[in-house]
Amino acid sequence: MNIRGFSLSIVNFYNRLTGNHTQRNHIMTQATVTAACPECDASVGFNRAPLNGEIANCTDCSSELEVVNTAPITLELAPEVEEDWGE
Amino acid sequence: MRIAMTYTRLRTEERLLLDAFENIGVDVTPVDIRGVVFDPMDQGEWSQYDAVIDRSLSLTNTLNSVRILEGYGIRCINPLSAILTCSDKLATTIALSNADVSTPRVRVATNAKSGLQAVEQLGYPAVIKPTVGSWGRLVARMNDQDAAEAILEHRETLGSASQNVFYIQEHIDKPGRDIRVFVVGGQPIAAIARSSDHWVTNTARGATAQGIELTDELRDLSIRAVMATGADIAAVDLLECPIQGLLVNELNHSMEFRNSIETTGVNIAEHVARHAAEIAEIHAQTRTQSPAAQLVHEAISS
Ligand SMILES: Nc1ncnc2c1ncn2[C@@H]1O[C@H](COP(=O)(O)OP(=O)(O)OP(=O)(O)O)[C@@H](O)[C@H]1O
Ligand SMILES: [Zn+2]
Repeated sequence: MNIRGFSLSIVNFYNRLTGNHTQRNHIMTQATVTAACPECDASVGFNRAPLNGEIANCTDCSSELEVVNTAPITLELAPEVEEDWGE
Repeated sequence: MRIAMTYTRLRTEERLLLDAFENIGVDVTPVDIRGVVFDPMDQGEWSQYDAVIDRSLSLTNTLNSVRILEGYGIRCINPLSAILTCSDKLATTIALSNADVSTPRVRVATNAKSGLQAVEQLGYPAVIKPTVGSWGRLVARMNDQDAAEAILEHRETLGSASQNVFYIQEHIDKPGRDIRVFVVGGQPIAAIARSSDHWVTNTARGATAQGIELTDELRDLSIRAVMATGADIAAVDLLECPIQGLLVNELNHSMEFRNSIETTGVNIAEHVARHAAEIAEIHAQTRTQSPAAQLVHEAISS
């Protein structure tokens, strides 16, 4: 987990305890679009409209997610790596 | 001039590429090929594109879509022939060796028994890899005969028919790192070293990347390696052998570079986008010409 993800998790945890969402919104000023994480229901932010197949990481539970629909934005757990994937 | 970028998953690299095209003012359409139905006999809407840059994560999807697109007469980046050479380690070995590019010694066998002879010809330790594969998957080092017998037997018994090729390479006693040179349009633009305590130094396996100087030797070797494959864009992986010097291990036709932009200070995505745009521009001007005439035009322009 990266530092940003870690700090966001702490903020999210704090916000859930306190019901305070302003601080989170302040940190996520770049995120203009959000969708719910299918694993933990946290809100996953995109700093612009995502495309189909776009990969995102949930900053709360670290799940690797994939955009499977763009209107409305729907996230699913990213599939496992397949044998013929690579560079 | 219009470009399409085919993809299956939009990772950081693909996002960076789309942004790079936008920054240089090039019209690019991202196409998730999982949703496409191709008619190999009719290009339909694909006729609007002067070039297609393939960024599919799945080699199967890449090969099939590029095959169809080239069938339409669309210039693909990379071309199918280059993808076929880079994506298959045996094809790479043959191309490099025919072009006199230094590469580790290899033996190829068809079963476990002859595989063991192959290992013994090269000596221990030896490395076995799938001919098609990436991110260091199933790359194994055989330190002695016991290990070799076990690995070869496992592969013969458990592997699918497509894995029934025993591609065995001499082990290079490299200094805890391998080197990757990014080559775009025949020009090496950046180099990184990937270091790890483990002998497999893929970043996908936790190795750390660091920008390094592009020496003349690295330039020369990587240019010649890419020329041997015909790739427009490729990452050349090299091993430093204490005895033989620099050796080209393999080439990647659809390289990852997200961790290499900051470490090298080179905007790799922008180089790729500019080169793709140059290729598309040439094809836009010659669209009415035959495919052969287009190739001649491209050769003259470059
Ligand atoms: N012959 C060898 N001697 C020493 N180390 C090797 C040898 N072959 C591979 N390695 C190490 O294992 C790593 C993975 O091998 P290789 O690059 O051939 O596999 P790959 O699955 O194609 O990886 P990728 O395409 O992602 O670079 C290399 O980066 C290198 O560190
Ligand atoms: Zn989550």
